[in-house]
Amino acid sequence: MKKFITILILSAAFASSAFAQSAKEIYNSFSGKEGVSTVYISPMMFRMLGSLPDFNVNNNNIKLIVETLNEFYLINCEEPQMAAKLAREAQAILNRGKLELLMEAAEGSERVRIYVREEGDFYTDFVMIETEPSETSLILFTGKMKKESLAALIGESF
Amino acid sequence: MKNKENIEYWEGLKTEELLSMAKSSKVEVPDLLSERLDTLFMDLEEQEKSKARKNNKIGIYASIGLVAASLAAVLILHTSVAQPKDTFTSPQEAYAMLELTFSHIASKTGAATQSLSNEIQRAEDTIIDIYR
Repeated sequence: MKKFITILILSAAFASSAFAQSAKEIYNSFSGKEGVSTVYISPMMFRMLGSLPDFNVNNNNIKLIVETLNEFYLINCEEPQMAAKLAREAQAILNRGKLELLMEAAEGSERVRIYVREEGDFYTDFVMIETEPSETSLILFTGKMKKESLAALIGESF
Repeated sequence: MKNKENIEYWEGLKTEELLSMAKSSKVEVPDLLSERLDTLFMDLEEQEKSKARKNNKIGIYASIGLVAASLAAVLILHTSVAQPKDTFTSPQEAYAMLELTFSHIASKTGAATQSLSNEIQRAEDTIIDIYR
């Protein structure tokens, strides 16, 4: 039984780690390509952000959320072929990483999906994918975000 | 040479022979047979315990090996992918980027909620029109 639990815990850790690593791989493969904009904020930079003053978005202090973040990735592809490739690869890692679909919205040809990985009262991964026929954006946060803080910040739709 | 003190001697006997010997009063019980049997059984028991301990140790080593292999796999995975470089050199720029990103996410989720409300309102209006 102990062995089973150990293996289960390790498998969970491995799955979580594998998802973060896959995101990193995607970021590395798209970064620097033509028609692609990328942004990465490292855990070290997030530690430095803790000393900044409060900042409000939608009347919510984002500093409280920023303090719980570990990494941030943003990939935006405006070149149709690259955009389609990013959408495919992102979906593949989302399926492998066992994230849950939190929200999906479509307006015209634009489709927005938000995925999360939950751990009790926290989200450890937050992924937003926006797809249009010729453009794809991927936003990923990792950390230990309080569900209520994120919901308040993003809106009442959660 | 057959010797009654050797187990081979007794193993070689047929059941009938054993029964007839048992009935005969001439059967000689070797000296200290009981003590020797006790010792033999105790030795066998000790051997069994030793084997069980050995198997248990192998199980522990296998578990440790499995845990170590899993950790090694996670570590290899972590180190094998190149770490991206920070896009911003100052925390202020990074903070501004996060503010923009959160505002963007909020606008998208807010727009989705608004769009859903509009759709619900439209559906309600249609139902009211039908029943008029």
